[in-house]
Order: sequence, then structure tokens, then C-alpha cells
Amino acid sequence: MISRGYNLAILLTGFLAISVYCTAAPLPLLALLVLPVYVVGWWLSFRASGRLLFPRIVVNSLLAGAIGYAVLVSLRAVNVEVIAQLVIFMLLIKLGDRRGPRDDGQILSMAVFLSIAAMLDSNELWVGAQLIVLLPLLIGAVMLFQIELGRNGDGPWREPDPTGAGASASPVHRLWRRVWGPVLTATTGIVVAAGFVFVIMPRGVGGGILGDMATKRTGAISGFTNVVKLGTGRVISTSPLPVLDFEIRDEAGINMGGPSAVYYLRGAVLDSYSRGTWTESQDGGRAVGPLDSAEPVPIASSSGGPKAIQTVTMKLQLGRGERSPIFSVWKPLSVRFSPTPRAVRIRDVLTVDARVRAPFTYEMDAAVAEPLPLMMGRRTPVSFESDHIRGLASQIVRDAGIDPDPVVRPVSEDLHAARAIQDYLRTNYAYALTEPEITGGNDAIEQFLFRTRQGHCEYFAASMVAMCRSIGVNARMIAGFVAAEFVEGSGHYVVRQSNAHAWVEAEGGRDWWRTFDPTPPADLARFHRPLPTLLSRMRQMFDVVEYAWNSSVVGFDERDRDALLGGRSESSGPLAALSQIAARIQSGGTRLFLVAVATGIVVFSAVALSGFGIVALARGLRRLRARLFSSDAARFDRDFAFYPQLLDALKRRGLAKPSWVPPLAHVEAIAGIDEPIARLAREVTDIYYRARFGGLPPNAADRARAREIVREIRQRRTPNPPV
Amino acid sequence: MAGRSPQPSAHRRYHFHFPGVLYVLVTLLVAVGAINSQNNLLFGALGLAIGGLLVSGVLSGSGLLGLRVDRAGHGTAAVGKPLVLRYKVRNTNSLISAFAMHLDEVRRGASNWHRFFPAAHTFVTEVRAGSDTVAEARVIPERRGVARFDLVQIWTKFPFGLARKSMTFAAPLEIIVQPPDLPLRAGLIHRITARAPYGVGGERTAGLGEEFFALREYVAGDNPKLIAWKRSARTGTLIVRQQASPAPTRLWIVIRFGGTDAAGTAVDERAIALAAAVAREATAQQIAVGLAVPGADVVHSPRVGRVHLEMLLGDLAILDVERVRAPGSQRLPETALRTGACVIIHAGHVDETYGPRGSTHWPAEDAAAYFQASSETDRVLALFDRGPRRERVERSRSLRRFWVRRRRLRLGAGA
Repeated sequence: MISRGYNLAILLTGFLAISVYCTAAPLPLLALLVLPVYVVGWWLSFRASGRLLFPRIVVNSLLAGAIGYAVLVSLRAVNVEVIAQLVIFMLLIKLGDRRGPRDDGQILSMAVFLSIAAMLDSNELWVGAQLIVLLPLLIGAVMLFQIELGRNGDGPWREPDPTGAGASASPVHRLWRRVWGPVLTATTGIVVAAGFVFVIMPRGVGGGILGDMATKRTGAISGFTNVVKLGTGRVISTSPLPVLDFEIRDEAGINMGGPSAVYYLRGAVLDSYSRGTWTESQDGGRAVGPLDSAEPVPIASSSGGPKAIQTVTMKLQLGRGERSPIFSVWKPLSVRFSPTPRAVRIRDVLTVDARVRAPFTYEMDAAVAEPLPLMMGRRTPVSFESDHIRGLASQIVRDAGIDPDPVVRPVSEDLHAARAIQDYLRTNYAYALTEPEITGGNDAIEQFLFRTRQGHCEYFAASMVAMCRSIGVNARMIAGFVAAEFVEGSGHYVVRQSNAHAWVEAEGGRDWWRTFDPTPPADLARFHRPLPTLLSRMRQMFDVVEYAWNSSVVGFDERDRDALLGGRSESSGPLAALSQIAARIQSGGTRLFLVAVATGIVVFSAVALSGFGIVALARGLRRLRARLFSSDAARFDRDFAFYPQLLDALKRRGLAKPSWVPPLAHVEAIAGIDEPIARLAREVTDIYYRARFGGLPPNAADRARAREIVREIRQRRTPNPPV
Repeated sequence: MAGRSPQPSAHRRYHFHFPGVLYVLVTLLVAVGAINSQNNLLFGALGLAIGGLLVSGVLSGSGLLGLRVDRAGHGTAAVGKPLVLRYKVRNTNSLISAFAMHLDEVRRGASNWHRFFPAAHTFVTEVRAGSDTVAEARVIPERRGVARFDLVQIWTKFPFGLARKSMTFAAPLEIIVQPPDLPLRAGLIHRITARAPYGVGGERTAGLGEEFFALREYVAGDNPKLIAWKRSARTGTLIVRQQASPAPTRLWIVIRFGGTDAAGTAVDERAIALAAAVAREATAQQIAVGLAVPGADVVHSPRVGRVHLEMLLGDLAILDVERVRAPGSQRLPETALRTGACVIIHAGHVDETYGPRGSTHWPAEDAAAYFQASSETDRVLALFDRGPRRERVERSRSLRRFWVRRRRLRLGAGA
């Protein structure tokens, strides 16, 4: 009889394993389909109690079908997702073939695999939380499985009564209570051991050397984009999904964030406009790499940018996505990544190598304020030829007391002109999340400025850039995020998909760009700052936990390890050697890595074989010593070993000597039963008597003869055993 | 019947098996995955896997080290009847309970139990810290004789099934497996004993019969009617008469293995099973049963009682038929046999002139006709036709080797 607690443990383990994988993948539809089927299948198998739910042919056909489908899919690409989804289907099919604990063992194995697949897919808090719940459940289920396997194994047996009063039915329903102690002990022990291994494992060794087995997720970042297409009828995302966590500190380490402080995180510089689409210019920038995880990557000095007069340290965690710009408030001076990407591309913003999988963290030093350039900027040509736009812009700056003509107007007044346009847009246009679809070849900016007069941040920014450029002010659109949601508990900002934003930078001198945001501030605050509702507070609490998870678990890196272990461990000792080897392997590529693995296996095998050899040698030496330098008693036993052998041989023939009968008397007694055997036994007994009582130790010939007789007695045809 | 060493010694071992190897391989894969992806959750998973290995070793090792196993008796052993072997499992560890313990008899040393039945196995869910429990294994002996046990192994794969940890204890034991306990058809015993002289030659004891047994001194509580007044007057002390107990009917069972031809093993066993059944049935009917096996020096005068029956069954259990068949004396204790009814069971051909006059002659070959018809009877009698267990195992192994060889040859030919 299978206990209910055990059945429940199998149900929950399988359920949670599927759930954690579907969360990590993320495959919500699959979860919606599979989880109810799993529960129903489990219930049916529980009711069936050891019988097949479906005919064997159906189960086998389903399995063959699932495997065939997986093979077909794998022909295109083998990855974790394909295998994990195959495992989920096998798990469901297995429920139809669940007849005993052995089948449950397979279900548990598949649950373990799904957990590992989930870890490969995602490091999110929800995944981690489910795995934390799954761990003790899995441990308990495996322990109960071991018990059930024994209880319901082959062979007739009865389990003893725990009270010792006699055999009786055991309290199967109390199994959970009986194993909770070991489950708790094992969970604690495993977690402690895992924490130790987690901390001491060196990071940054061999990363990405075997390629990426998991499928890269695409489209995870929404809201932010480096291509702005106006007039396509899109709706701006209001998704509260966190995209990144952002923390900002000054040189003294004081947190510069606060509930009232808002920061613009630059992600893309869109300076090229064509037919309603803003894109980055074709300049690909400069690639830097390969990078060393231990050292920060210098950015500004190599790019010839301005020197900082005040720097801050920003720490950002990207929650999702991949090939990502390095969001920064100001121009970065140096960046330190974890994990380290192969390379970064430096242009107006930084872009990490596509091989780095999110989430990852980076810290950067950036210039808060830059000195005014010694050289004023050059006069840029008018780049927007729209008369309507130029007319409006001219009107705006003229109303502000600035000459719109770029030929007459000094460059130093460009920023004033830009500010006038910004203020005009803020006060005369309305903010809306939706945008009308542009038809009939109309320009999207003109439609916004002169017809609809409402739109979202991209329209405001694009219109301001257009108006600035139409009167000769060099401006560009910036896409990124607004960090406005400050979490008091952890002192960081949570940036969500809905915080994606577009604003403007105008050039006040050569490469001296100032930020303008034409979006109405009230709308910006309404849209980007959470209302103090209960839900938002709960969300903030969750954000604190998530930030802690990302900081201490997901973002745990070599520097954290060093800090925890006290100083840089690579400086000396075995870890230093390991780090050097790791660095060599990392720089040597796949071949060197494989050679290192093969060498490791050979060395391990050699050490293991040496260990076994030493143990065998020690045993041999012990035996030899016992033989050569044994005590008198041992030597006596050795000399008379033949007599116990004789008694054993006689016993096997049913002529056992009672302990109280003297040897010769026994020989005489058995003479009446088996004369030939008695004769042989007499000869051995005589040798024994001579040695034992006559003071004549048996020589080699005597011992050999005795052994020969014993062998003969054994080999003589044994009286036919009964039957 | 049983002999055991007073102080069992233990031997501890770890056996690595497939799930453990698989676990290590998966752990290595996780390690490679963690290094390759630099995924901290995978580093955590690697830590959990390594932690699992350590905890598994510590939990099971410490749980097992405190265990002591000893025998705790056994039931009566007869061919075809479930035999219960009991083990006392004691946990001397005062902190850690032991879970999921398997107990096996080990086929090593002086043991020969494998010739009698398949491996004895039992399971104990839990032995709490500082307590003990008794486990029972049930086996069905397939032949009679003396089954010897030597070592008992307790093992577990708890908690995670990664390795099999075992402790082996010396616990020698000998069990006499009696011939099968099959019921005779009703009325057979009565038919045999119908002509037996009542109460002749039996050993008499004091009882409540009608015949005089002896005189003895009066003790308080004796019936005054039984006082022998004349003798009392003569001796000056009160003397009472004792009556003899009624003498039981006497029945001799003779098994005749000798004859003109040697019967097969199965027939010999049927003869012994028949003799055992007659002995059991007669004893149950308070008939004094004697046993004589010419050539085996087995002559037991008829007596009543369970102890005597056990002695007879024990002799039948260890009867060496081959030796009995050896040329030699097949003489019967004729004089003794005349004092009661006699049933002669012939393992070979039936010689009705054999034994005292008036004896009943049963051919062992027709043993099935004397037993009550039942599936149990058929099953046990079928055991005799299957031959000794060891030979069957050998035959099965040979067959397996044959198929393996043939498969290899085919593969070789295919290659």
C-alpha cells in the first residue's frame, strides 16, 4: 500500500518542477495546458493503484511519438528547451504507466532535470523562489521513495511493529511524520554545503567556452528600442515588468537616489531621421575586448571624451534581455561587468557583446558635470526642410527673444532656443499613450505638431529635434529609461518596461550636449512614478526582495567572493594557481579547455588508482606481517589449521563433532557410520595429537598430508543430500 | 536445532551502483554547465549536488554504524510451508534513526540455505534512535534437510539512493527443514490401526484407566475411595491405589527404500512425506507412533506426544536416502513390530511379504492418493518432481550461458 503522503509528495514535486520550468522558459501557455493534465493524470494513476491507465501499446506509441518529434526538432537545433519539453511530455505519459515506486523514481528524475533546465533558462526571483520550495520537497519525496521502494519491493515480508509487540500493519499514513526529521537535517546540511561550494567556486573561468546550449530569448525588452518609428499606430507599453535595477552613489559612497530624484538612463542616440523613422547613425563605433573580469574597462579616456570634474558610481542590474546597451545617466568613464562580456562596442552609448546572457550587472564611473568646452560648437546646417516646422520653430524662438536665423544667432544662444522649444511643447501639447496611424504620406511630426497635438514621448522628442534642427540647433533624440521609482528599503531604483522614454540632447558646444525633455513634466511624473497604493507598496516590497536576490545570488561574482573570503584570493595559494590556469584556459579557447578537462580526468584517475593501490598494498603488507611476525597463538592456529578444516569437512558430511567429545573418541564413533572416512580422519587426528600433546609440531609434510586428506574427504562423494 | 554465536561481528561496505554513477555524471554536467554559462543558479545547483553526496554519505553512514543485527528465532520449517525468520535490529545510536533498511541472508561461508529456498529478504522502515525492532522474512523451503545460515547483511540506499551501504553480521543458524506437512485422507489411520492390539506392550503411566498401576503413600487431596485399607493396616501408613492410564494404540511406520530397484528421488521423497503425514496424523489422534527405516539405523519405539513427533520428523528430515540404499542390512525389528499396527511405505516395488503379517503396504509412487486432494498438495508434490534447487539454478545458468554464447556468435557472424 502506497502512503498518501508519498503520493502527495510525488504530485507536488512533479507539479512544481513543471511550473518552475514553465516560469523560467517562460511558457505560460504550456503551463496552463500541462499542469491541469498532470494533476488529473496523477489523480487517475492514484485511483488506478498499480494498474496501467492506458494499454501498453498506447503508452509506448505516445513515447515514441514524443521522442520522434523531439528528434525532428533537434535536427534543426539541439537545446535545453527541446529536451525539457520532451521531458514534460514524458512525465505526462509516465503517469499513464505509473504502477509502482520504480515509476515514481523516473518521475522524480525528470523533475530534477526540469529544475536544472529552469536554472539554465532563467535566474529570476520567481524561478529561484520555486526552486527553494522545490528543494526540501524533492529531498522528502526521494526519501519517501526509498522507503516505498523497500516497502513495496519484491518478496513476501512483513514490516515489524514499531512497538515491538509483534508484526502488524504499519502506520503508512504517518510516513511524513517519520521522515520530517531527516528531511530537515538533510535540507540544512545540503544548503550549508551548497552555500560553501557556491562561495568558494571561482568565477569567470571557462565562461561560454562550450557555447550556449539554452535558446536565447528575444524581445524581452519592450518599451525601449533603438529604432523609433512614428505613425505606426502603436501603443506604448505600460507593463510593470522590471527591466533593470539602478543604484547611484557619489564618490563618498553616499546614495544619490531619492523619492524626488529622477534620472534619465541613456540607451540609444537616435540622430538619423528618414520618413518618420529615427535610427542610430551608421557609425559602428569602436570594439573593445576581450575583457578581463577583474579590471574595469576604460571608456572615456580612450575615446578622447571630456574629463570628469565629479564622478559617480552607478550600479545597474539588467533583469532580462541580451545584446543590450549599457544604460547610463552620464557619459561613462569606466565600466566593470559581471559576468564579463567578450567585448563592448563604444560609441555614444556602450553596447555589450551579444554572447552575454542577461541578467548581468555592471558598475560604471561617470562624469556628472563636464567643463564648458574651450571651443564653441560649429554651426550645423539646417537639416529639416519643412517650412511648417521651421515656421513654428522660428515663431517660438522669436517669441523668446532669440533670433531664429542661424547665420545671425550666436552659437551660445542655441541652448536657449532649445529650451524655448521645450517649454512650448510642454505647455501646448497633450500627452497620450496612443498615437494615430499616419496615412496618405503625411509626415508624422507635422501631423503631431499641427493636427493631432497629442502623442507620447517619442513625438515630443522627435518634434523638438525637428524644430531645433530646422533653425540650425544641433539636436538628437535619446532613447532610454526614466528612473523615478525609488525603493526606500534597498536604496535603488526599479526600472520597468513602462519607464521607457525618449528625450532630447542639444549641442551647446563641441561635443557638449545638454539634456531637454519636452514631455509635459506632470504627465511624465504621472506615468513614470507609482501611485502610493497598496498594490504599489506590495510591489515595492517584492522589488526589495528581488533586488536582494539579484545582488546576492544572481550577481555574486569574483569580487563578492573575494570580499567574503577576505581579500583577493588569487594573490597566493592554490586558488592563485587555479586562477592562472583558468586565465590560460580562457585565453586558449575550446581546444585548450578540452585538453585541460582530459588532463584533469587522467590526473584524477591516476590519483584514484594510486589510492586504491596504496590500500591494496597496505592490506598485503598487513597480511604478510601477520604471516611472518605473528604471535605464538597465531602461529599455533596456523600450524593446526588443518584440524578445524577436518572438522568442517566431517560436519559437511553430517559427522559433526560435538564440542565435548575428544577427537579420537569422535573418530571411533564415526567408524561405525562411515569406516573409510573414519580411517582418514584417524590419520589426521593422529597428526593433531602428536603435535598438540606430543610436543612434535607438524612439519611441512604432515601439514601437506593433512590438507590432502581433508581435500579427499571433501571430494569424496558426499552422501546424497536429502531429495 | 539452532546454533548461534554469542557476539556477532560486523563488516561495513559501500557499493556504488548505477544511480550513484549517474548522479555523479549529472553533477559533472552541472559543473560544466555552470562553468560554461557562469550561471550562479547552476553554481548553486552544483553546490546542492555536492551537498547531496556529502549528506547522503553522512546520514546513511551514521545511521548504519549504530545498527546491530541478531537473530530472533524462527518458525517451524517444513517443505512447502512458509518459514518465518526473525531478526532483531537494534539501533545503538542515540541521535540518528535508521530508515529503509533491507535485511538479506548472505550466501557465503558455511551457509547452504540457497539449496533450500530463494534469498530471504525483509525490510524495516525505521529503527528509531536507541530502540530496537524485530523484522520477519518469509521463505518457503523446497526440500528437507539441515539449512545452514551464516551471515546476515543489513543494507540501505537511504536517503537518496546514491550508494548502497551495508553491514554484514555473523549470525550462524541451523534449521531442520522437516518433510512437508500434508494432511492424509480421512479414515486412513483408522483403517491401519483397526487390527492393532489395544494397549499391548505400551509403556504404562499412572492415569485414570481401569487397570491397576501401583501403590503409593497417601497425600492430602487423594480420593479416600482409593485407599488400600488392607495394605494400609499392614504397613501402618495410608496407602492408595494408582490406576494405569489407558495404553494408546501403537502404530509402526516403516519406510522401505531397499528392494530390487532404486526408486527415483521424487518417489523417495514422496515416501518420506507420506511417513511424516502418517506420523503427524497419528500423533494428533493420540496414537503412539514408532518409526523404522531399515538400513538407516532409525528405530524409534512408538510413543505419544509432540516431542516424540518432532524427533521422528527430525530423523525423517535428515534421512540420507542414498546411504540407506547402499547394500547392507535391511532387517526389520520384527519382534518390536508385532506389538502394534504397522504401515510399510515402499519407495520401490511393493513387497507384501515384507514386514510382519497384517501390515499395511503403501506404494510411495501413489502417495498422491493418500493425501487429501488440494492445490497445496499438488504444489508440494510437484516440488519433488522439479529436482533439487541447486541443480535447477545450475540448469538455468547453463541455459543463460547458452543463449548469451549463441547471441555472441550471431553478432560475430553478423559482423
